[in-house]
Amino acid sequence: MSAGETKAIVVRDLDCGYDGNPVLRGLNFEVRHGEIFVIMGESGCGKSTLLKHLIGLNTPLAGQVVFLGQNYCAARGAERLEIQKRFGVLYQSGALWSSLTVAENVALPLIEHASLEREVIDELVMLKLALVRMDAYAHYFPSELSGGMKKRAGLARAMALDPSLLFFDEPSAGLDPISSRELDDLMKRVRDTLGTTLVVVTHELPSIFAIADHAMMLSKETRGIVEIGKPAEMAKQSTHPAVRQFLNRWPRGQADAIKTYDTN
Amino acid sequence: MDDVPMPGASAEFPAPPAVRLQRDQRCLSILFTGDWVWRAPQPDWPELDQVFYKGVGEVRCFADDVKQWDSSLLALLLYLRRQCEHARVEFCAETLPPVLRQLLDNVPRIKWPEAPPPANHGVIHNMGLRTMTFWKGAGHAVTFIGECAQALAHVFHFPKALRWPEVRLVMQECGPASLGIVGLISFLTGCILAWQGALQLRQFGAEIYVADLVGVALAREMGPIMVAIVISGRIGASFAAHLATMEASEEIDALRTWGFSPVQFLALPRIIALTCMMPLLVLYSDLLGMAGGLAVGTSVLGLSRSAFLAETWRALHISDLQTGLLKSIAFGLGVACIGCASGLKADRSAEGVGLATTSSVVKSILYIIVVDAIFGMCSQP
Repeated sequence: MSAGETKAIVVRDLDCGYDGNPVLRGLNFEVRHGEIFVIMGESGCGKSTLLKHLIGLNTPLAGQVVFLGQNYCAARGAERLEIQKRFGVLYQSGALWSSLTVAENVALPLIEHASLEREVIDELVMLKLALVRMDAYAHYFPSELSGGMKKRAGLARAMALDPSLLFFDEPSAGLDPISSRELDDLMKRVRDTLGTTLVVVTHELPSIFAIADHAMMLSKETRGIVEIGKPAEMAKQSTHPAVRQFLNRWPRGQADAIKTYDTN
Repeated sequence: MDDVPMPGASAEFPAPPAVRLQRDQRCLSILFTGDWVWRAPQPDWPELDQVFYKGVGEVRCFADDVKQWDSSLLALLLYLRRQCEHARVEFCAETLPPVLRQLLDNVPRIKWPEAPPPANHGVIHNMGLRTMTFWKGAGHAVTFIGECAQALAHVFHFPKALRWPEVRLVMQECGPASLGIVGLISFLTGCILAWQGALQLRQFGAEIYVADLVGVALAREMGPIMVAIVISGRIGASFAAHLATMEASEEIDALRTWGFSPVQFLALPRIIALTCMMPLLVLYSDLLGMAGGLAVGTSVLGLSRSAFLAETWRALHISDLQTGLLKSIAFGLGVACIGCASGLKADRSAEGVGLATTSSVVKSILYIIVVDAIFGMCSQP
């Protein structure tokens, strides 16, 4: 299988849910190498649930999640650990380990998973922190950082082992517009310089339009995928009113207004 | 983008990374080939060290044949560069692809920020700091007790102000849910007391007084202390952890902004519930402990059940039970107050929750021992 043919992520007939109760059913989608793929939808549609199932925090009720040609759901033990080393996750709050400094947070995966000299690890840590412009705060503890800084430090930690895939859970949540924009630019820079595939769960429209190569809309009503496409095209040409309503920020109960917009 | 493929565009099965060396008089060329990714087996670096001590004046690195790379290649290049600096050999990065060169060029500019120097004050300074911390803690304790008294007075006037469902829930947790562990520990304590007593009393043919020993010791001392220690670990710690987590997740701030007193809303129901349940737990513990003593007395010492029970009944005075129950109220009140106070003044972090829990258990046990000693001194003839 050549690199060109392999998709970064392939999801087949995935049912996500808790205690046997499906929240999302029959999901099928693919994410190409080096693209920024956004999972979007209204609150409660199952975006974060899908992310938890993709990264293996929850076991799918049915279906397959294939990362870089390897079936993650079926993998166990050492095989699963190897797949886990190939993706990183930036959690909504940054989820930095509070008893470690920023530098120690980034260094820990390198110390545990790569047998390197301490000096080399320190240099690599500073390189990752410099990439997210956090090198000046290497000795700070997470409690001393602002929300945006925590997310940037969390991103540096997620990139510690040069993952091929990066997952982001609501990266813009709780950030001011400028920090949010900076994080968007940072995500694009990571993709452009390192070629990493990014999967972003968000409902922030400015971020979606700024970063997404492709976006997938989930629906609470159908418990599945409404549409996958390029956000700008979906906002104008989607055949699904719910998609246009979401991407154009139209309020609920204004179907007439939407029809008028369509006729014009 | 550089012509060297990036880690994202990865083939599934990486070719093992390899290093080839070419020597041209004083110039050593190091050629990297294969896939330099973390998951591929890494070559042995120390072998490269040897080349620096054989008249090499310059090291040139080439990575044109590398198919994909990540920080594992960067780590080796950083290592080589440092070795070159140590051996006073020139390291030439010009031959590397631009992205790698740019990343390497960035590293020297990155300086570790100065870590704040560790605080190293004199003995007097440290004593002063500790004293201030102690008085600050004492201030917190006094404030908390005052707030509790205020909340209690308010509840006396307006009984509906207390969250009775919460009181019932905590009572359930302190009482029925604790019966198993309290019962087991009390029964075993009774057995141990009877056994140790019997070893001594048997020498004088006075085995029957094991019943006196077990009954009085359990009712006055062992029952209340054992229950209080179990409850401080099981309930006091859970109060501290629960309230500290609420503090960390801003739930207590939310209560304050709504005008609710966290002490009245959260601490008082817990204090009332535990203070009410402790005497019942101690009575239960006394019974189970005496059952343990009876089991050892009848099975090991050969005493009859009726003689053991009659001797216990004769030895026990109502004042023994009163002392035990009074202690249990003091212990319950103290353990609940310490647990709640530790939780409410915890730092807003995972570490803060842990510290609050530890502090609650340590302070509770210290409190139990000190209060028991005070009771002991007060009841001296």
